[in-house]
Amino acid sequence: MKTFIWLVRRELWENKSFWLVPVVLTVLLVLAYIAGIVFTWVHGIHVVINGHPASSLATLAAAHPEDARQGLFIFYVVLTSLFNVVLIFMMVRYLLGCLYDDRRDRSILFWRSLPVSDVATALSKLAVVMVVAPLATFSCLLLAQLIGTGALSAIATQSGVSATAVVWGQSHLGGIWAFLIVGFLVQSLWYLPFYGWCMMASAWARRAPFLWAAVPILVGGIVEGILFQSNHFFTMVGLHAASVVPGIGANIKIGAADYVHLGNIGFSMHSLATMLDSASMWIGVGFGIVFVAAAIAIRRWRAEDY
Amino acid sequence: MSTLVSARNLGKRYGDTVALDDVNFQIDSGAIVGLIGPNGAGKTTALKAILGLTRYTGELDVLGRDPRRQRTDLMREVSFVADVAVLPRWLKVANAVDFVAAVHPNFRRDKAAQFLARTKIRPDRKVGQLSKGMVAQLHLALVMAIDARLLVLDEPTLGLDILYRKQFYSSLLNEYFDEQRTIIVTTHQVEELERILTHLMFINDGRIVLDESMDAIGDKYVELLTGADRADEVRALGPIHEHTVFGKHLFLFEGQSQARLREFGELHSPSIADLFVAKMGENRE
Repeated sequence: MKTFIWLVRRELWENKSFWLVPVVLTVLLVLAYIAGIVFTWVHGIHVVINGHPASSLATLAAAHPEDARQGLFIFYVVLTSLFNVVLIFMMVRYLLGCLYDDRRDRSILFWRSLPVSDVATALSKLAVVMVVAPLATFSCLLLAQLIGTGALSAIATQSGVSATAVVWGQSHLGGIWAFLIVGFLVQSLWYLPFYGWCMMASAWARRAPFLWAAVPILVGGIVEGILFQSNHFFTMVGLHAASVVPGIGANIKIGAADYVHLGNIGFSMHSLATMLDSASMWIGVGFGIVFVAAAIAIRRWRAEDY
Repeated sequence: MSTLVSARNLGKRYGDTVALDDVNFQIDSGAIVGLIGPNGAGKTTALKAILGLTRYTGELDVLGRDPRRQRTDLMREVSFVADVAVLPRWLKVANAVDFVAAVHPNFRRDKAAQFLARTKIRPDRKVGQLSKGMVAQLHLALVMAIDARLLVLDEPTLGLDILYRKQFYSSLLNEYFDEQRTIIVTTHQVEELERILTHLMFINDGRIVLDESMDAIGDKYVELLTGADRADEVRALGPIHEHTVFGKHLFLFEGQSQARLREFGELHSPSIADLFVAKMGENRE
């Protein structure tokens, strides 16, 4: 266990982006919030959101707390999606390099001179992707939500509306955070087949692990298209990639009239239970485990070349 | 003295190329073995097999373990420097020490600190900011602080300047080596190893062409320097190698009576380099 913790620490030494990127994102958001507040101060109450001046929005919100709640939820969903998209890109980039970079710079020879098994090494990298990095992103997201909510309450106060009642009273942040922690972990499981696949490409490639990850999927889909005039493979992969955890993923459809309804907006534990209960989830996890095991097996003897 | 490594019919093929041609050897504890051979002779393959980094055919026993299956366990008692400059560039010196201390049960942090204190390496530096010589010093500091029974060095000083090379081997001998330890080393710079080895192994085309203790080599091989006038007589005695230096003839004999050879001229102990040239030439014909 001690070794495992140090293996994870090693990954964080090497990949500072796991905490640096969400921190930078939070800082940028804070700057945007400040600009927003300053803007409302300078221009008084002429801020217009969706055609409504901020003041009237705030007044409306005070009259209809449900609407304020939905508005806030949309804000949180957008914020979460933003952090999550960045997280997923970081994960894929990391995974493609995680069993490749140390072979390229030959430092694998140093790591392998220590009594650490390939299994522990690979699992530590997976733990970083599935648990550590999502939690780092979650922490920053939490901060961005808090500061953002603070900024909104500043704007509300500016408009003469009680921030406590309209903003903080409707935010339900406690419940959202509980959801997000579980949601990020559910997402890790959901994406395990992709994570495992990238890891396998990383362990296999002598160069260009990205191509080793992408080309077989493209070829698979195209071959199916030519042979059977069907696209089940692409549909399956695409659907699995695009089916995001409600409230965490980026496929929110703002604008759809019935979407802005509390039940549909996400952050509901029930939606997580539905995902965990689906066959896609566990078939995917099964593939993921096979890919990770293959990555470890490939890793063991790929080192012969170095 | 006990046997640490024993290989029986150890073989390795890459496609059609034979890297190791079913070789047999054994290495006893307390030895410093020089594994010498031209590029591509099979040295690195042999070391990799011992370290559990490559698959092979035949039998190989390293400290009572099968290196293919028990690499992780083996690494508690075997340490190696595969090459200079394989430490990752992003790693901080202090973190490198912390990490090895945390994952290696036989690592002695005080020894590493002691060794590093004598260098100009600062703990807050990253490996990428160190010179090549300093990286080698850091790697050696890490490896020497590991209480290992077997240390494997594959070209540990390649590309280093002479000052670092001298320092490297003197640290190794004076501060690391004792009767409890065994070292296997490969290098191109054989002259540097001359005085530190206890055993010598030559490998060529995947075969072991010489495997002797240095004492036995001193008894068995002798170099004779003689004038051109007597060269034919000497040649009749069956030298394994001959070359001319400033008009004089230098013959290398294997297993020939020294008393008899002395009649023909001066006798010397051959250097490893001379022996290497003779043995490799013999093998080539």
